[in-house]
Amino acid sequence: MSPLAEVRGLVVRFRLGPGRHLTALDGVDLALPRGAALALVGESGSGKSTLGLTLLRALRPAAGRVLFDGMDVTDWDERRLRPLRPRMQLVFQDPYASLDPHLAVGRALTEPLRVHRGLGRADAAARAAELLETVGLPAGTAARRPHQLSGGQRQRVGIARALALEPDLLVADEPVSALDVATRAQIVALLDEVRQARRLTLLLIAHDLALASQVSDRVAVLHLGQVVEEGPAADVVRRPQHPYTAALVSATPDPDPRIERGRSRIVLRGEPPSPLAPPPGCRFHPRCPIARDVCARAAPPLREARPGQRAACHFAGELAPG
Amino acid sequence: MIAQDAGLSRRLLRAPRLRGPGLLLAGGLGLAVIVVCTLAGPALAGFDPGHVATADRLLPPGAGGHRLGTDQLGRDVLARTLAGFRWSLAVALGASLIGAGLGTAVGLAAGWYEGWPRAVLSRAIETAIAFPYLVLTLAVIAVAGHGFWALVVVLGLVSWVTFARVVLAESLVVRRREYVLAARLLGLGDARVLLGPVLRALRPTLLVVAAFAFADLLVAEASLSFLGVGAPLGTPSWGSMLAESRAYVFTAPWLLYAPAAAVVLAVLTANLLGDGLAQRWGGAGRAE
Repeated sequence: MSPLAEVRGLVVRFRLGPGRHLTALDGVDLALPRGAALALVGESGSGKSTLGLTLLRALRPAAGRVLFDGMDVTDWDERRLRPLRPRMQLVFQDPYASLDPHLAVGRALTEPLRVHRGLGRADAAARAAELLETVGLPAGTAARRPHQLSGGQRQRVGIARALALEPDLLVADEPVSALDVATRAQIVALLDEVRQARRLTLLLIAHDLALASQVSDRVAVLHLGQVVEEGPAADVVRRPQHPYTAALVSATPDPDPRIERGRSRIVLRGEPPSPLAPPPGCRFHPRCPIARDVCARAAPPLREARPGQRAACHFAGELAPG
Repeated sequence: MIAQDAGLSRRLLRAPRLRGPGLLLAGGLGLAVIVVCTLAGPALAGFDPGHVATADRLLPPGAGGHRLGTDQLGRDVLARTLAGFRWSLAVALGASLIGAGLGTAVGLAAGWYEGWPRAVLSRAIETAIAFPYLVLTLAVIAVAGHGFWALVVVLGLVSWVTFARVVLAESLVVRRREYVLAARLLGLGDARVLLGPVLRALRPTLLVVAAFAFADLLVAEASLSFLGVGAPLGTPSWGSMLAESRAYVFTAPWLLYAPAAAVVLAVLTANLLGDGLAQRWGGAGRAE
């Protein structure tokens, strides 16, 4: 069976000014099998959110294809996408900016139901109450405005809104990074719960590799607009093949202070290179602890480094996290 | 030209020291007076505003029960001024609604649809800003004739551009908000997104612009009536009352005071409310 959503050779550029472009994604191939949960990790500016938005066709790629349920939707205009929209939904990073401050929570949930499902006022309200219950909010929340809710509650509303139209694909764009630490685990657990209950296909965008890998089957690591590693979540975390992934794994502290103190960590030198002028060869080589001459000349292709696990490195697997 | 006249009067009339709540309080008081005068109307004066009594012409205030005197035809000045509230406010309100509707529609469309629609509509707005409106208004009324609806429509077509310009500027910001993207990703149509989250975000700005536009239109109506191309002959309009009073400025100055005070009250109130709302909503008042 074909994957639910897929991008092939995806290139996304943003116009910064006359003749100036930022290439946010540069040749990304990624597939989301039906019912799978894929975590997309990488540092700020790596193109994670851009990939999520392009997959939902909120952005139009400069090159490459976007496929949804076997349909090539790359060139569809908004009018043509509209009937497809209910099947692909987004949970936003910022639960403050993504809810209309002038709209009561109930109406934010009922409007799409009334438009797409043709539900009457009472039916839509009943459905909204169910949705609120699903995400662990009291039914009375429907009458509230977003400013009366906490960050965690707002994100629950955001999830309820995304679930309202019973999508097949859910893209969660750093759904917990704006929340306080205690709330994060709850929201991640909620996403995992609804995903399993509804057999959703999930793209979880995160910069926290440890958190993301807990609730996903597969992990893709994005670096400067390119996938540098992709594989089963457990393998990527335990046996990272790309030195950048190894550094990300190594950056996760161990909760046990004795182990943490004795642990050697891979510390990357310097800032990530500017995506406006990516370095030649392997884009990671200026910061790579194991870079050699070839890395500055030739860009390594993404290839199988271990069974089921792909990495874009000339020396895949040589650097293990301490 | 009308807009410039109104801008000048706004600067002259603006109370410089009032801030925030004070502005709204003063504006609210003015509004209360206006509402009472409009609702009670000429009944408050005890005379019919259209009643001609040549025997009682040009009576000074107080004489014969006419509290503000009578005009050159013996009509009660207070009754006519009070009747003027209904006329002036109705014209300004009707024209504001037309201007707000048309201007908001154009501004929203120009803000939402990138490419040629925005280019065409933006040029249209710029052209309209530069247009000599008093000339157009005079021409249209000369052809279409006087009357309430002619005046309302013409003034509405004068005021749309203020709304369009502000709505365009604001919607270019609002369209980038995440909750607007959220509405689009829910598969809601353009009309639902524009009239939903986008228009909701524009409401404070629209209210402020409407208050200033209303003040401009009051002055515009009075100006046109003063020039004799606004209110039909005999209509108790402040502008025509002022025009008629000119011949008697030295012999019967009371003809001037009441309509002039009414214009000042109405324009000042609208500006106070506009400024007050603009300050309250922090920077939403880009009406000028």
